[in-house]
Amino acid sequence: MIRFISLFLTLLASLAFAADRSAEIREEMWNSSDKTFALTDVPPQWAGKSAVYLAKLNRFEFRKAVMASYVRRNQYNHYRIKLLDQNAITRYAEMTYDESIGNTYQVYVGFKIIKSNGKEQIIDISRAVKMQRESRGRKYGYFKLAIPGLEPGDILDYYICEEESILTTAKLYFFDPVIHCLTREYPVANYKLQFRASRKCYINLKSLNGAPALKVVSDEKDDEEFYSFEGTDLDGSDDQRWVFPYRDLPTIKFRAAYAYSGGLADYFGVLLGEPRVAKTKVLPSELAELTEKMMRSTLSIFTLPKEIKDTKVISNPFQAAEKIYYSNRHDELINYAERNEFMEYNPPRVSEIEFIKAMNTELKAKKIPHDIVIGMRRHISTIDDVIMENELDWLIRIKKGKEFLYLTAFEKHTPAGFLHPLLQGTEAYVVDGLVPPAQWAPKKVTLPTAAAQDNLIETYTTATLSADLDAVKLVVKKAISGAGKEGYQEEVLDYYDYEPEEFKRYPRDKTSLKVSKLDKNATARKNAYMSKRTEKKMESWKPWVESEFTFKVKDIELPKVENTGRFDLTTPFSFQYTCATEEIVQRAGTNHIVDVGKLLEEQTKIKPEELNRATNIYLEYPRKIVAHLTVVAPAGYTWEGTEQLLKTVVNKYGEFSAAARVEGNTLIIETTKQYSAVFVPKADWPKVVEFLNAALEYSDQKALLVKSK
Amino acid sequence: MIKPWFALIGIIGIASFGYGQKNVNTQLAGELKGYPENKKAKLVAKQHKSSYTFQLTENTLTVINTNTLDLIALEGNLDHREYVAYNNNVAVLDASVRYTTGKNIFSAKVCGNYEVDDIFYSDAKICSYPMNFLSEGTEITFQSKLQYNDPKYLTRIFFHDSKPTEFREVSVIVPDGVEVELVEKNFDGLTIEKSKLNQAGNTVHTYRVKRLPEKKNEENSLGSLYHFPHLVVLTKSFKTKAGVSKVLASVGDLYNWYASLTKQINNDPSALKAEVERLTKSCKTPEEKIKAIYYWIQDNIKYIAFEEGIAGFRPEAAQQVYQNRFGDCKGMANLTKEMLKLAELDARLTWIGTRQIPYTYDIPSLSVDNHMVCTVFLNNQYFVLDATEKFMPFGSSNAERIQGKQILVENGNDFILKTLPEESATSNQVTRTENLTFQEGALIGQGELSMKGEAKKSFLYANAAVKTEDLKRLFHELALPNRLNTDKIEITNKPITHRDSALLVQYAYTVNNKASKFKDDWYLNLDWIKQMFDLSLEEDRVTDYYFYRKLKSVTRKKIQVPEGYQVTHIPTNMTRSHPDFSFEVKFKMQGNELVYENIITIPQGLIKKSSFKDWNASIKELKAVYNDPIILSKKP
Repeated sequence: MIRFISLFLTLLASLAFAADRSAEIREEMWNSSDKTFALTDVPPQWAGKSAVYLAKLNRFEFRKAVMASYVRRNQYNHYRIKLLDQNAITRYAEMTYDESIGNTYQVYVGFKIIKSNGKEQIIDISRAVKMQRESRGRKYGYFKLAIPGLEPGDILDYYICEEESILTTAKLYFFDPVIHCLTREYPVANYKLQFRASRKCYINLKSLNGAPALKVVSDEKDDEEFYSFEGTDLDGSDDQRWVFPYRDLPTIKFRAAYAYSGGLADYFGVLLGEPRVAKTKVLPSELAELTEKMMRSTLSIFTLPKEIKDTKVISNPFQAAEKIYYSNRHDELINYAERNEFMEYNPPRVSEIEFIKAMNTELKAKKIPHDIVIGMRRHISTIDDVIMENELDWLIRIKKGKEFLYLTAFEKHTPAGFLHPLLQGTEAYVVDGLVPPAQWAPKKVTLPTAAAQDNLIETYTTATLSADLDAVKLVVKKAISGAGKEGYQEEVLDYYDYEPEEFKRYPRDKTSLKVSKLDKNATARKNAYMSKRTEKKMESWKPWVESEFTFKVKDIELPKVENTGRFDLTTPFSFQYTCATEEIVQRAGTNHIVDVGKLLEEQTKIKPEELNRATNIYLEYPRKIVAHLTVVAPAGYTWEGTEQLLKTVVNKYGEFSAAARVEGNTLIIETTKQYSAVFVPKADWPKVVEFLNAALEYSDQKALLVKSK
Repeated sequence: MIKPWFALIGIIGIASFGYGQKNVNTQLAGELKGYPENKKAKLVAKQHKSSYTFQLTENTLTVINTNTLDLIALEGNLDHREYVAYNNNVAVLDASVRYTTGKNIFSAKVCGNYEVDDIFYSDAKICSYPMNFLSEGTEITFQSKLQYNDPKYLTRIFFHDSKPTEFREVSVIVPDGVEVELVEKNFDGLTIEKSKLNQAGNTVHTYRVKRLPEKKNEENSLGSLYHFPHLVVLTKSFKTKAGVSKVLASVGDLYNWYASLTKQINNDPSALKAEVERLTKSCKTPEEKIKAIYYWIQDNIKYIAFEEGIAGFRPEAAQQVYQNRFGDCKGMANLTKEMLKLAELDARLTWIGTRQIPYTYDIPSLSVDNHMVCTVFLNNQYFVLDATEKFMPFGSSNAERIQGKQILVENGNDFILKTLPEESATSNQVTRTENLTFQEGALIGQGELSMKGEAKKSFLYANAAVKTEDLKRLFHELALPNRLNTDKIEITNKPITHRDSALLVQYAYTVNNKASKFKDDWYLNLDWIKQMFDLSLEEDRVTDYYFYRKLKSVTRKKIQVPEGYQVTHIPTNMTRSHPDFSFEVKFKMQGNELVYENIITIPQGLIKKSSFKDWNASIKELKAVYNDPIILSKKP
């Protein structure tokens, strides 16, 4: 009985606390002194918009919880949005928010409508309905709330706040980083992005792309620091193609870490700086220190191939490094691929740090000159703006005089020499892999850039028209090199397409599905796959081929792989397939028209509304797409109109060019489409549109087939 | 380097291993793979037995439903889930997964709310039971047991399943004293063996059928009630010591039950009075009052559906819907009625099954209807007001989804049954008229587009839903669909987007990619919208193809032949007339103008499965006409 009373009192206390806290948050959100949350009028420049945020607050809090093993992460989101049309009404008429979970995750919400006459109506959240899912005794839920009485011109003022206690045994706890792009779909008249952290927290913080400058306020009473970004008049932005938002739109990066003591932070910490001082800049030496710490805490070993092991002096470091690379790609990934698949384990993988640690060890053992490269992908920031370790990439580069061979943590098809396109052309730091970490002196370098020609997709299509011109057989061969290669390899190849070449090159025992009690199920799974392999491959292949053309195709056959391109950066991945269509030849009076332009790959269509561009243009990599099209007419026909199949549009950002000729009854067309740049200032967007339009218009080109007299 | 944690996996592996080949029947799997109906199947129900046992207790009647589904895999390593649906009136008593040979299989079921796009919240819930068929021929049995707490909620029993079924048995066990009628639907063309036996005070109805193909969910279908065999279960009454209790024996019983629920609504007309007065103060006629109220509700009350228990059948109080500015169809119908009553009009709640339910009120079942509207009686006429239809004008036709359907209208202690009229395809006509000139590769046109009925309504929905800043783009897309960024388009009038007005969009455009030049000849395509161009229907489709509305599309274009040119080729005219559709495509010269006319009519908005062959042949012909260009040649 005593126990029951005690439990009851605890429950009562916790309910009372929740009610108090709910009232506190409501008071803070709706009765704050922040005047922007009392605004009612839309700034005149946004009068014709669907909705406008009059005020917006996002606050993140990070601190140690009262209970010993918990840290707290709180997030307070408060929005005051004026809904100006039916579209906005429909969107905001139904709101959702998460359900609280026990005492560790509390959600507090409030919704009120301010009518155009100023009358306020607070929505009764007890009318929200709970949607729930239950599995293995665990319940997951969220609430749906219908917002009553909304009309265009109403203001919806609402907050959704989360307070979370996170159990941790770590002495240094890293909260999830926040990368917050300030631009939203709707314009924002006033906004505040705030971070509040206990003074024992280490803060990393950066304001980018015109985001407002940081204001820091010390809260002596609560022993906390308060970091705030405040701004006004932020235009809305719809989704646009080819934009890196973190590079082009106002963005804030933030990460907090809580340390039980400064000593711990010194020992375990990376890129932490000093408590209470927002760290906005990371020094090259800190990147080196971080790399050393991460490598030191990683246990990973590669195996030297015997021929390298037995070679006392390495004369060709590139060749030796490639051998180490491919041999270990086999041992670490390919060797386990089949077993992991059918034993239903996660696919084998090697992290970047594991890779550089193991590779560095072997390269040092053979005294092969190399650097460890610390880089940052272009779509996040420049390396000068790094503030968190999760923004970084690590790789190795082998040195031979002034030449370099880049080695990236491999996936199953990654070739030696591959440098991720988002790292290309960026600045990075390198440290000498042969010297002890204590002597590392980071040096800034610019990583090389591939040309469009290096990222080449070549397609050879032979279209043979039937004698009655009703049907066309297509034989398509593709050869892909560079950045696009891996995507095609993933699409086309399954494990058994490259297993033979792997085990021919590395004739060692596979970590296989041993026939034991444990492995019988895996063997059954393998047998199931092998018995249906053709059908399974066709399940994904057929839609892929169908998506290649804008007309209906049939009789699709699986591709025949000519070269997997897996052991060399420059060797293309090539394959050939066949299919047929009845859609590209049309009768036109006594003649026939052939939609030759449609036999090229589907072209990018820039919609009229995309012509006005508000952001700069970012492409992942330069690339060249070359099509060699041969259209064979039946005997007795001649081609006309081929003079229209010539086209050239070239500018500094790209090109589309086409040439055509007739040889007997065969029409031969060669086209080149090229994206030459990875960045285009928005003012030059018309130049990109120019060559894209040329390619699109070409896809409507036709040739006339005339019966010979 | 990356080593799995063998110890733990070993334990799991050994635990899950065991029954090996004992659960596998490869011979049967091989046989089943040979049957044409299993050609694409990965899984077959070897046997699926369901029983529905009515259980009479002291003064209540419940139904226990047990299902035993013997499954066999036609390929190995197949992951599959079985689902059991339940709600406030139907409880899951038990469910299990085991090898057919007997050994239980652990299945980590997941249960939760069943979310449907159009419904904000309902009490519909679902449990899913995952299972893996390791090898081809693996046999697993799934069993479930449910209880209907009230027999009127057992409305239909289907025979088909999501996989082909070799043998299907449905038995309905009715104790003496319980009156149940089973209405057979869509049994034609199927060999369903039926028996009715009296056993130990029960009547046992049994239906057995072999070789059922999988039940496909096809797009553009009227729905499974039109095509798949099923039983409609009518539980009429049951006898207890206390006497005979009626369930639903007639439409009168159904109405009485509905009426008993509507009596529970606590409407407070005083909360609506001021609004009704405001809306109707300048109205001079009853029609004007109806419009003022009906349109205000359409414009201001958002459709948000709540379907929970009895609330799924009982309208929410009018004042609550009014205050919320949202409600489901019942709430909106009730608000319409209450506001019209305040305006001194004879308005009544009305039940109706939309087009997806092919039943009439001859069937006294909760499955006969799914919608509520309000009927107003005026000058010896009646008008159905469906406020969930946002852009439905008063006094004209009804929405397509309720045309031709029977309505059950409240009439005090009695009810009225009426059938709503069907409109013709012309009521939804879309007419496009254009005058074009051709200038060296460019087509310059002026046109107008008018839309009526459902076509206009669909556009008005889009017009209301689009963001203000995207409105112009919407009209551009309507006038010149799928245009290039180099094409030019301008809307030349100010289209009226009101439900009572005709929708007329006038426009002018220049397009550049519709003509090809070969030597001195221009090859032109005049119709780039190409209605129905790509709509050949798959012959293996099971259900009729439904367009969701009756269709009539009329396109008329005139092009002036440019000076110095003559028309040397025009495509062949095409006329096809079929009960399900008609195509009429004509080209003719009128002086110096070439006139193109394209009229397509789908009078019922439906292409029957039996018409697919004719339809596809006509589409092929139509496609050839669309693809055949006009040839303009230089005059000699």
